[in-house]
Amino acid sequence: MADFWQSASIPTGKTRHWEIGLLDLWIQHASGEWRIWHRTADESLEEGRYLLAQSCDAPDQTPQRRFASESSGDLVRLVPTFPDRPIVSYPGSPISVPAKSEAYFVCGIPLALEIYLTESKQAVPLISLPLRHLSKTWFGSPLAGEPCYSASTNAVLDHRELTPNKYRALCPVRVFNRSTENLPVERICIHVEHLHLYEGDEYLWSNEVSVIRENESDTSRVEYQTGPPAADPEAELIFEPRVEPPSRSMFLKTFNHFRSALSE
Amino acid sequence: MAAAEPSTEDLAPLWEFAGDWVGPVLASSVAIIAGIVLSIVLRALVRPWRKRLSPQSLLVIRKAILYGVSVIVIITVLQQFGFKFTALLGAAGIAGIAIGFAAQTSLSNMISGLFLIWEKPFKVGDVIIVEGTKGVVESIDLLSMTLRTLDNLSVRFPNETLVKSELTNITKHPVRRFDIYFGVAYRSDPEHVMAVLRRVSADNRFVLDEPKPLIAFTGFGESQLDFKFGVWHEKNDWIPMRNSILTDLKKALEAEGIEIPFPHRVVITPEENRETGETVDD
Repeated sequence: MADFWQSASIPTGKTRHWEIGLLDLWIQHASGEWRIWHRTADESLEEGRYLLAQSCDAPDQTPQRRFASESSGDLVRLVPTFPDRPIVSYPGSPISVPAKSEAYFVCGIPLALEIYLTESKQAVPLISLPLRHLSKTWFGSPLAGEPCYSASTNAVLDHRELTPNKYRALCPVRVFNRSTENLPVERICIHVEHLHLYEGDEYLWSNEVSVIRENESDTSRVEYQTGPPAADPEAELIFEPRVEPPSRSMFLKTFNHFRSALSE
Repeated sequence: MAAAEPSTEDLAPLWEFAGDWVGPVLASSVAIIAGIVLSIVLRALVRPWRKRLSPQSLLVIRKAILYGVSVIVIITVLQQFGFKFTALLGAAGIAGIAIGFAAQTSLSNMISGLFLIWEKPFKVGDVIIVEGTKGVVESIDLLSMTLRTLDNLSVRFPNETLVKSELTNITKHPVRRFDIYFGVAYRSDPEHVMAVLRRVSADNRFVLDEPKPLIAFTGFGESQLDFKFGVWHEKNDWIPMRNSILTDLKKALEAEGIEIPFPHRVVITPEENRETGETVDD
């Protein structure tokens, strides 16, 4: 299966169509402008659709986005990226990491794509589109927390439980529970802006994230490992992180394991 | 006829007068320039704290610098021209009482303003409701707060009113819950209704899936089964969320054949058969 992150030439007056999983994308190169239509199908549609840069007629509707540019040439470049918010992953049913032990989770991160007009990456893409509809969620208490997206697939303990595809990257999360209490894990929040994207033989991967819980506090030390994950050491880097991870480890609230106190 | 040339002796009083004033004028100019420089330096010293301080605190600090430096400059200038402050301080006791009475409201507002800055019940840009007026906080000053209503009117509230009145800050917290109260016909299955509500909240793109929506069967109304449906959303999504969730809810209930009943009464007159509702012939 060819990669969708490639350049396509669209001569003036032509339209090309991409079907990438649940996303339909049309790009038209009109005289002096670029027109973009996009549509994200609901989950009932077959996710395995994969059609790259096919010539077609432009849709009848008004384009969602228009960009006036006379000097940009004919090339359009699609770049895979992570969503613009942290992703919250659920392990299906609650699971605990015993005290003084470590566990390994694999979280599926839905990808987005960015559209650029030149071969070289510009500072700002024309548009960034999620490859599937992302549900909004909130990680934290209603008084303090952060806006996130929900991962559409559950966090699993073995990556082979997840179907390989081009619309989702797998993020290995290694949890070290060094506290003296069991660590219940109901939700895992991953700051995807710090992740690299790798292409392996079967799966797309991110670098590994280590979460170290030293004591019984809500925050954990988070470290972003460098290089491809141990599960696929031959994977090739295809996307740099949007925000370089800090050189020192961060203390973040990564797990959510308490019930809402607001239910009536 | 040539005019008589003024002699040096004739100009002596003028020189004397000028000599008396040159010193104070020069000293006053220096004091004013020094005041301006001091004000700029103090404001520059505050600048690195901009991100840590709230807009209200910054406003107070800037005004304190302005007023403080102005008072120092005015006192210095007046002293240069021979103004005696001891006499002023003597009179201040009597004048202070008079001014105190006159400035009672202003002082009350000023002290209330300091309380508001310290307590921070709202900040510039928050949407609040005060005494039934809803709007965006535009500025918070020492004496008053200006609210821009949603239909673009400016309403000024004295700070004292804000301290005394009930005040609702709509945008203080990042997420909010929108509660919908509605009823369905008595023949509806409550579990079916609750399943529809779960699906409506899950499918709406503005509704957060955490915190979980509140779905409650709240009671038996006069003409309907009462439900409460509370969905969480980010504060900035308020208008699109409200429009879309109400539309989605109505469509979903209609699609599932669940009726939202109008209030109705069954009136049986004495002439009607109580069993069948048919009119009884005499």
